[in-house]
Amino acid sequence: MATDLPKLEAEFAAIAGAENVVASEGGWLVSPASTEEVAGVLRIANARGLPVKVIGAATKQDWFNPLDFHAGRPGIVLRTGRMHSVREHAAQDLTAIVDAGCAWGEMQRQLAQQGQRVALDPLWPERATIGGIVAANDSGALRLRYGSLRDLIIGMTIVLADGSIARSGGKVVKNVAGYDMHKLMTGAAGTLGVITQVNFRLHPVEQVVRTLTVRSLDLAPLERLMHEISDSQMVVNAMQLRLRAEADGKEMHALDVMFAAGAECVEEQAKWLRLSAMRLHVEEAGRGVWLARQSVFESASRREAASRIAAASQAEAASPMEAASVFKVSLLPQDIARFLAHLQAAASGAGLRCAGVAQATGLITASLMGDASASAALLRSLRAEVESRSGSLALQSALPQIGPGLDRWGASIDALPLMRRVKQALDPNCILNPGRFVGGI
Amino acid sequence: MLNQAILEDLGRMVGSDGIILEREQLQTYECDALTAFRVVPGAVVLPRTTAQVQEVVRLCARHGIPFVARGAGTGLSGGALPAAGGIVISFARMTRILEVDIANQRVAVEPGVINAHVTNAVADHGYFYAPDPSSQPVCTIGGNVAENAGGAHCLKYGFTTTHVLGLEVVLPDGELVHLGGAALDAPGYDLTGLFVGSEGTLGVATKAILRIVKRPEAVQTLLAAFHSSTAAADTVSGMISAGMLPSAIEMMDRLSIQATEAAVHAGYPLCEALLLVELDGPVSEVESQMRMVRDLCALHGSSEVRVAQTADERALIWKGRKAAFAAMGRIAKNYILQDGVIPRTALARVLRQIEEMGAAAGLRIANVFHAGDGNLHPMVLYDDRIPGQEEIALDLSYRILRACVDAGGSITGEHGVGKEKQQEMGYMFSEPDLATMQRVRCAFDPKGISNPDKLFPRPRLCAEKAGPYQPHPLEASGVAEFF
Ligand SMILES: Cc1cc2nc3c(=O)[nH]c(=O)nc-3n(C[C@H](O)[C@H](O)[C@H](O)COP(=O)(O)OP(=O)(O)OC[C@H]3O[C@@H](n4cnc5c(N)ncnc54)[C@H](O)[C@@H]3O)c2cc1C
Repeated sequence: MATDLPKLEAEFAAIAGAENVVASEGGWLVSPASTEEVAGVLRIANARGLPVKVIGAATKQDWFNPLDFHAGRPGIVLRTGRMHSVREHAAQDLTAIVDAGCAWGEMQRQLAQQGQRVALDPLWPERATIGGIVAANDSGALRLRYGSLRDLIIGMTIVLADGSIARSGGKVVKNVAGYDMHKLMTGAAGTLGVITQVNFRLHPVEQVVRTLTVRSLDLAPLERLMHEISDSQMVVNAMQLRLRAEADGKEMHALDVMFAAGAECVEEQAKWLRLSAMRLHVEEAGRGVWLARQSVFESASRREAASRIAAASQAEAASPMEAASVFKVSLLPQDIARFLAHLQAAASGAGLRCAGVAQATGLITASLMGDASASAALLRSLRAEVESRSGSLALQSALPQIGPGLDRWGASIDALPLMRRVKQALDPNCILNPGRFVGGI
Repeated sequence: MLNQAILEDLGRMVGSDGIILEREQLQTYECDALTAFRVVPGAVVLPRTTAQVQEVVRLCARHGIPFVARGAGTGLSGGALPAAGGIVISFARMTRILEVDIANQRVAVEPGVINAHVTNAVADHGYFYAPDPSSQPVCTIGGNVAENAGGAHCLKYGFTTTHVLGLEVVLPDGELVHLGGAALDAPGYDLTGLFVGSEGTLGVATKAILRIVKRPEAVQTLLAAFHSSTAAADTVSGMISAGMLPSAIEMMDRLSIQATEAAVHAGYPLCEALLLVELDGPVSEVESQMRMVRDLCALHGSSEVRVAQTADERALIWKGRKAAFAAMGRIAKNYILQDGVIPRTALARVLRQIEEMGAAAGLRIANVFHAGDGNLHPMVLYDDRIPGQEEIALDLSYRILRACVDAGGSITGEHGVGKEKQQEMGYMFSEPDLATMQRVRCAFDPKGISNPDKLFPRPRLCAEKAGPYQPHPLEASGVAEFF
């Protein structure tokens, strides 16, 4: 193998240009500029059985199992960053075709020139790329009104492990010709193919948007209000329950509600909300409250960094291991408030800090910070609880310390053998992000 | 193919009243609503439980017998067409609504449940099941799932796939799997999204978890007459670019208005193009948007505008639209219905092109369609008593689909590929696109027994393409093992 390396590097260089092939520990970082170049790189990798790790801006690498290359077994890190344009924006048709390496925010800025957008609010939009967001199936608070990526993607171009280029869907919103391969690729963690282009359906940027925040020391009235709104005929864009930071006993829990409609309608709905929440504290809020999900990640990583520094400055085994873990919980909408309350009580009982924000759709982003083994124990019991209520709990941060025995996704999935067959059918040599996904796929 | 022993096994599995073998009765199942294709099946079974479905499918897998699931048989692309000597699995006896969970806005049903019955089950609570194919009083959820059925109101609410959260599926080897679930984002691949719209080629759904939607506070329907389809199409574009999302935008041309009036007397004005626009939502929102729609209609020269305010007035407006297909019998002996999609902006141009194609072929084409999402339903009218005309009509209908693809659209917006449009798939997709789908198909159904010879351009055996897994040389030699 070793003698082969210079030759391989030359082959990659011939495809992507020498300046876009960088030798790195255990292999190469290759940055192809087009679907065809991706195909060329994958053909070589597939023929030689080299593992390929696909990255956009690497913002969500910790959501999946790690993939490390070892000396003697070279691998390729395939970076999509050079494929970064908005290829087509058919404003009249409310559709767009965008390269996978384009940053979300950049895409939105270009679409906004015509008053349009993809109606999704993923994490870290300035850095995160289309491909990464799609492969991780990220979604935020707007999902309540506009659905998730599976509802917003109408077509896709992918490159399979063997270098074949396949398109599915198309440029029209309504289309049932063939399998929805783009749904299969969405959330597949890059294990089935490399996404190079995504066709989106767009929505107009709303003119009148208003967010109200309702606060209470108790979760119960906020929960009631949230369900009342869900069960009403109001049109809300987004709705989320935020758990208070427990350190401050005076701080309150919050319910954020985003209205977007005609001015008159928004005014009426806001008035209704103020009336319904009369005994609670209601205030106008800025867009910032919708970054709550991102804050959960950021406070956890700050905490993690701080404890790493602290640990380094102490004698190696002095204090117990600290950890900060972020996780995504999916539940039925009726179960989210109870979960948040339970999380807070259990965390405080175990001497851990926690944070959490729950979307009205039933998706929760939460974190635990503190002693690693206490965190692991609590995560296990939370997962058992969630799974018994037909939900799931997925870990979204690196967890070397919390580690062994705690699977990232948990849940015994009876379709796992089928998923393996799908993986096998599309990537028989198992070169694409090997081992990174559910069940070690 | 179905010998006596197999038939006896089947009978034991589903009970003697759950199997049909009489030739005459079998003929009821020889086609779906696309009657041009007919094949009498070897047997029809009517299971009552998932376990029975599993047993039947296992038996099929054991003996390599093709099977086709069947809902109400209203499919328009030959999807439920039986395979020669194969088994039809009818869901006519799996019609239970298993769970209604209003608080979480979920309903769980067996596949034989009729679409409209889902709404009936939740209507008292102010909810409805949004996907509304015109066939909703008879078609089943299983068929809707397989075809990813749409309807007039999918413009705003999304297609079947948006509303299916989870499925229980019997795979073609008889294995039972659960895809998705009541909660969102179940770990693993989105196989629910893949299964919806796969036209029965990936297995048989035995249960579906559906999302239900709150009924809007107000609904208003507008009818506007235009002197040209271009003017109507421009009005549609105007609404979309103003950022409006009506719940439905339908369009009918002169020929279909004539047929409809003859059949149901909906009181439509006779004009070149009739636009039907429905808005729903909070009262204030609907009212302000309806003002904008009226202004747009006036701007584009609409000669007549009516707005239905009451449920009765609305029903009358929809009555004509919903009767349109059936009404074609009034003006033509036969017709072929197609289901192409084009980008909305191409509406006026492609409609003109279709008209010219019809004129060149010497046939009339009526058009009733979902204008809001560019989903055309051209009906090529002909008379099968005139020798050769059916062939001309068929050829024309396929050429129209190709024109849709050329305009950047699709060969089907809601009826599915089925048997009818297999060859057009090769026009819309390239060989690698289709090969990729075929690989997925083989992962689900390596023997190719689940609704075989549909959807893909030509029958292809799984072994022809991907083949069984073989360890890569590097892997075999231990150089590259995967982790
Ligand atoms: C008058 C009329 C109007 C129509 N209007 C519309 C419309 O507006 N929009 C629209 O989308 N369609 C429309 N259709 C087409 C048709 O009603 C839909 O495709 C519907 O979804 C078919 O449902 P079905 O129960 O009749 O299925 P069938 O015709 O019995 O079967 C359709 C397909 O589904 C498969 N299938 C059935 N059950 C299952 C199951 N449990 N698991 C797996 N596969 C299964 C079958 O094998 C077949 O391939 C219309 C049809 C008619 C006759």
